[in-house]
Amino acid sequence: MLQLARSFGSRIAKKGFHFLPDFKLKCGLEIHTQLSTQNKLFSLSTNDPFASASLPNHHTSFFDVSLPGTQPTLNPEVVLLATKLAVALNSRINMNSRFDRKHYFYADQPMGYQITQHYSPFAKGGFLELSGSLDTIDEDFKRIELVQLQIEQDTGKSVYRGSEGRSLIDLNRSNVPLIEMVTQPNFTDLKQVRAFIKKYQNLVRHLGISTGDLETGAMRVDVNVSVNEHPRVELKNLPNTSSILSAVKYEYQRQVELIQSGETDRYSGFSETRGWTGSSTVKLRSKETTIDYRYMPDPELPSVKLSPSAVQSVAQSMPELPDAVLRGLMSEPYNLTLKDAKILAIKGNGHDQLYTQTDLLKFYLDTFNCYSELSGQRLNPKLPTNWIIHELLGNLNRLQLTLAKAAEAFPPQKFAELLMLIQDDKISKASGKLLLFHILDETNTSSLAQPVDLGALIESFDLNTIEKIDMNELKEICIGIIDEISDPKLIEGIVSGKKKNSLKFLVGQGMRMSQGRIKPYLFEQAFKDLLEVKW
Amino acid sequence: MSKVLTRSTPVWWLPRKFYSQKTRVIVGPRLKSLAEIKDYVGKPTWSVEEYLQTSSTSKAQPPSRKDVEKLLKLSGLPNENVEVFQATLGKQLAFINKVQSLPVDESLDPSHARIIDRNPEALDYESLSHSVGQQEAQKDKEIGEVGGSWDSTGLAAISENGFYVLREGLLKNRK
Amino acid sequence: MSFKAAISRLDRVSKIQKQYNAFTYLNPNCKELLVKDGLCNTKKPLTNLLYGIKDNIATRNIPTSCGSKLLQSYKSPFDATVVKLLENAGAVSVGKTNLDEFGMGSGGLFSHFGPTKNPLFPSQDTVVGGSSSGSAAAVAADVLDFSIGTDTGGSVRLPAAYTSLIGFKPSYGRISRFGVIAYAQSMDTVGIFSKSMSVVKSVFGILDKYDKKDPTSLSEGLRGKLKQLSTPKSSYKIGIPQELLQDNIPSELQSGFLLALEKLEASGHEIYCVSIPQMINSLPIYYTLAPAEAASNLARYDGLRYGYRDDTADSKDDTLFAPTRSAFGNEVKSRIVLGNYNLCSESFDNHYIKAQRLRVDLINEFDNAFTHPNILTGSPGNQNGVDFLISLSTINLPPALSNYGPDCTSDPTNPYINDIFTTPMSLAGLPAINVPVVKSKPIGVQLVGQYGDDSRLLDLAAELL
Repeated sequence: MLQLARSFGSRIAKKGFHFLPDFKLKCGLEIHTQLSTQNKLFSLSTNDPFASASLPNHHTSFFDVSLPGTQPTLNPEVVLLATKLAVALNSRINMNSRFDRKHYFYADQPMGYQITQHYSPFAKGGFLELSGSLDTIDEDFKRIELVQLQIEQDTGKSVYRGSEGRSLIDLNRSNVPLIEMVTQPNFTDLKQVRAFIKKYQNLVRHLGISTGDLETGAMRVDVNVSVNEHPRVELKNLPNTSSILSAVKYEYQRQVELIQSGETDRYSGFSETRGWTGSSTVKLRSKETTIDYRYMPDPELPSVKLSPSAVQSVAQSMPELPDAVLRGLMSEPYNLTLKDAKILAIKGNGHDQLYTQTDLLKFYLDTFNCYSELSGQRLNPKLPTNWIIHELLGNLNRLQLTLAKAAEAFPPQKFAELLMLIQDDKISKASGKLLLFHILDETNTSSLAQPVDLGALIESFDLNTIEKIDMNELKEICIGIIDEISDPKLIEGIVSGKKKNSLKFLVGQGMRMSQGRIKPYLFEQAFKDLLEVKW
Repeated sequence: MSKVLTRSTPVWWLPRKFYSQKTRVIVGPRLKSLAEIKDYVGKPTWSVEEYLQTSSTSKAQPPSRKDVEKLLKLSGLPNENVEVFQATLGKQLAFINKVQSLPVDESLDPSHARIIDRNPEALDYESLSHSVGQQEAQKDKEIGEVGGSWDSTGLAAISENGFYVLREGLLKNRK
Repeated sequence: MSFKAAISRLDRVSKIQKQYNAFTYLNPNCKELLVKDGLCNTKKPLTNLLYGIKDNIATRNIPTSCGSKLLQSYKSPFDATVVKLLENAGAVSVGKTNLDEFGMGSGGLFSHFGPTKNPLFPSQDTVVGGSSSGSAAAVAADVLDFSIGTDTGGSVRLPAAYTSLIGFKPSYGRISRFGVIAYAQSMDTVGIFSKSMSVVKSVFGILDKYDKKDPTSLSEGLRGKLKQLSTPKSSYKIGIPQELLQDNIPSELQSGFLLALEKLEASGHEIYCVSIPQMINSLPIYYTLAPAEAASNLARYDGLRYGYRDDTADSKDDTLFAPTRSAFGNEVKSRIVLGNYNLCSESFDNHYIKAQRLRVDLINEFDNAFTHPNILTGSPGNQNGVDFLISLSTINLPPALSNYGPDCTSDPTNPYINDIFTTPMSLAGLPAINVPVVKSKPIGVQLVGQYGDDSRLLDLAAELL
C-alpha cells in the first residue's frame, strides 16, 4: 500500500493538480471543536488541555482518571455553549438529548469508553451558508448542510517515546468538552472546503465557544472524500488547513487513477480510513477491521432536557453573527471594503492577541458614532477606517499594547476628536500620527492622564498648524534645505524647469522639518521665490 | 379473577403519556382463609426450569470460535480458553436468547427502563447560568477537582515524571 | 447498644474471620475509634454500633478490592458518601467485607480472597449467598450490629435469607451510589443487613439522603412528594404474585412462607392473588442488561492508572491490556464476554434494546399492581391494586459448599436461577426486604413495596419479626 502511495505522490507532484470534469468530487467534513468552558464536561476540573507541557495530569479529577466509584455530572456551561452553536448553525435542537458510551480500549481513554451522543444527539440538521461575496468561493451561494451536532468527551494525549518503546499518557485533555459536527457531503471543490473551515472557525471564535485553533488541536477536521459516488474514504490526522486541502487533492487524484485503471474492485482501498503523511495519504484501517464500538445508552447520566425558553434566552444573548456584521460594515454609513470589514469582524488565531474582534469592532463603531456626530454633513467614512484599522492597530502591534488599555487613555470620544482635528486641518496628518503614537506609547510605559487631554498635548508639543507664518522664518528654513542639497544638478533642474518634480522633493523636506505644520503650498511658493523659478 | 379497572380520573401531577393503561396485570381475588392461601401457594402456574429448557432447545448452536475470539478481543481479554468461553457463552445465550423470542410492545420508550424521573423539569436559562456561576466555589478538592490537589499518578504501578505509562508504541493498529 | 457489648464483639472478630472469611480487610484502628467515641459525651445516632462495609464501596483509609485481583491493594483517595454519613453518625467500621468479585455471583464463592462461609452452619461449610457474602456472614456471626451491602439482582436479599437476617434493598436512588463501584448501575443499590429492625431503620434514616455527586440520586423535590404520599395504615392489601410460586420448593421454605402469610393475616392484613406476567421474563432481561453494563463499567480496569498491573506487558495477541485484564476471575470474564455479545452491533437491537422495552413493560405492570402512585413513572396507582407483594426470597436452602461448586461450572445459567425471586424488583427499582421467618434458620420471605414506599415497607416487615 505504501508503495502505491509513493507512486501516486510522485505522479501528482509532476502533473500538478486540477479537477477532471468526468470525475466529480464529493466531500464531507467531521469537525471536533473543543469548547472553552471553565471546567471539564463531566467534572469540575479546570479545562486547560495545554497545561501538559509542564504539568501533566494536573487538571485531573478522580472522575477524569476513572477512579472506581466516581460518577459523571454534566457541566451546564457546555449546554449553553452547545446551544449557541446550534442556534448559529440553524440546527434543530433536541430538547431531550441523551448520552451514550462508545467503547474501545486505548491508553488515552481512561474509562475504556468515551461518553458521547450517538442515538440522540444534541442537535440535528442546520447549515452554514457560504457566499461568493464574502467567502471567496466561485458560486454566488453555497449552502453546506449539517447532519448533526453532538457533545462528547475529548481523550487524553499520548506522547510516543520511540527509543523506549513506550508512550507517556497525559490526561489533562481527558473529559474536556467537544462538539462533533458532521456535514453532509456537500463540498464539490477545495475553495468551498477552505471557506467553510475559515467560516466555521471564525464563527466559534466570534461566539466565544472555542479558540478554534487547528494548530493546537482545539479544532480537528476529518474529511471524507468520494469520487463519482464510489465508497468514501475518511481522511484523519490533518493538522492544518493546508494539509486538509493537500490531502483532499491527493486523495481525489488517487481515487481518480484507481477508477481510471479499473482497480477500484481490487483495492478495498475505498471505504477505508487514511492518514496524511505530509505528502501522501496512507491507509490506517479498512472496513473489515473497523472496531465495533458497542454504543450503549449511559446508564446513569440523565438526559439533557432543555426548556424552549432556555434556547430563546441563549439566542437573545448572542452577538450578531459574522455575516451580518460584515454586510453591515460594507454598507451605509460605513462602506468598508470586504478586506477592512474582515479585519474588524473576523478573528485571527487567539494567541497573544492584543484585542478581541468584539472589542475592536465596538471601538470602531463607537468612534464612528462619535465622529459622525461631530462631523455632521462633512462625514468622511474613510477617516475612522484608516485611522483605526491602519494607524491604531499598527501602533498597538508595534507597542504590544492591548486595545483595552489604549482605550482607557484614549476612548472613542477622544479618537473622534482627533479625527476632527485632522479633518479640519487643525493639525496635519503627520502630527496626528505623531500624537497618536505618543499617547499610546505613554499609555504603555506608564502614567498618562486618563483620559487624555488632546488640546493640552497639542499645545505642549506645539503641533498646531501654523496659521500665521513669519515669512522670514520660512525663508530661513528653505535656505537651510537648499544648502543641504549636495547635488547642484537638482537645483539647476528646478530652475531650468527640466526637473519640475524635484521641487516636490524640496517641499517634502520642508514638510518633514515643520512636521507638517506649514502647508505645502507655502513652501512651494517660498522655494520658487528663493530660486527665482520662472515657470 | 377480574381485570384491573383502568382509572378514568386523571391524577394531579401526571402527564398521561408517561404510563401505560392497558395491562395484563390481574389483582385478586382475595384469599379469605389460610386454606385458600395454602391452596394457591401450592399450585404454581409455571416452572422456571421448564421455561429455561424451552429456550435452550430452541437455540442449541454454541457461538463459533471466530465469534468468541472477536468477543474476547472486544473484552480486552487474551485469546485463551476459547473452547471454555464457547461452551459457557453457548449456555448463557440459550437463556438470553429468550429475550429475542418474546413479544414486546414496540411503542414503549426504552429510555423509560431507567429508574429515574420520567418527566423531570426542563433546564431553563436562569438555572443553567446560575449553576455556571457557582462552579468556581463548588470545585471539590475531595474528588480531585482542584488542579494539583492530589498525586494523580501516585496510584499507578508505573509512572514517569507525572505521566502514566503505556508499555507500547503509539500508532499500533487497534482492531 | 452498649460500649461494653461492642468491645466484646470486637474481641471475637479474628476468630470469626478465620472460620468464615467474612472480611477482606480488618480496620486496625477500630478499637481505638470505639474507645474515643465512648469517651465522647455527645452521643450520635449510631454511637457504639459496629458495622462492616462491602468491599466494593470506596474507603479512604483502608483498601478497596472489589474481591478482585485487579484491585487487590488499591486504596481509594476518597470515601463513598455512605461511608461519610455512617462515620458522621458515629458508627465504627470493623472492616471491608468479602464479596463475589465486583458483585458478580450469588454464592459468595467467586472472590480473590476465597469463599465466605455461612455462620448458620458452623459444622459444615455452607454457601452464604452473594454477592454481599461477607456483609451477611459477619452480621450473622454477631461481630457486627449491621453491615452495608449492595444489591443489583438480589445480592443483599439472597445472602440475608441464607443467613436469617433482615436484608433491606431500598428503592433505587434513595441511598447515594457515589463511591459504590459499579457493576450494573441502572440497578446497583446500597442495602442494609442487621438482626434488628430498629437498627435497619436508623441506618436507613442516616443514609436516605440526596447526593448531588450521584446523578441517579432521588431529587429533594421527589423526596418531599414521597413524604406526602406515605400514610401508614393498619391493614394492608398484600398480594402473592403467582409468577413467584415454584414447584420443588423445599418444604421447610414452603411452610416458612405459609407461616409468614398466616402471621400477616392474623394481624389484620388481606392476602390477594396477583399476576404480573412480565415477571416471568425477569431473568433473561436481567442477564441481558446487567452483563452489558458490567462489560462497560469494567472496561476501565487496564492497570494503567491504578490497581494491579501485569509485570511485563500491556498487550497480548494484539489486544491492548489483555495481560492485566486476564487477572479477572472466570465468572467476571464470562459476564464481560456475555455483556459484549449483547452490546455488539448485530445483537444490540435484538437483545439490549428489546430487554430495555421488556423492562419498561415490567415497571408498568408493577405500577398497575400497586395502589401507591409511582412518583417516577407518573402512575397514579391502581385503586383496586395491592399495597405490597410477598414471596419467598430464595427457591432453595443454602447448599453445602461441596455441592455448589460443580454446578456452577457445568451450567453457568443454573446458579442464575437463584435470583428468580429477586431480579424483578431490581429491574423496577422497588424497595424489597428479606425477613427471616424462623430464628436462625435460612428461611426468608421477601416483602416488596411500590417505588419510594420504603418506610411503610419497613413497618410492615417489622410485624413479621
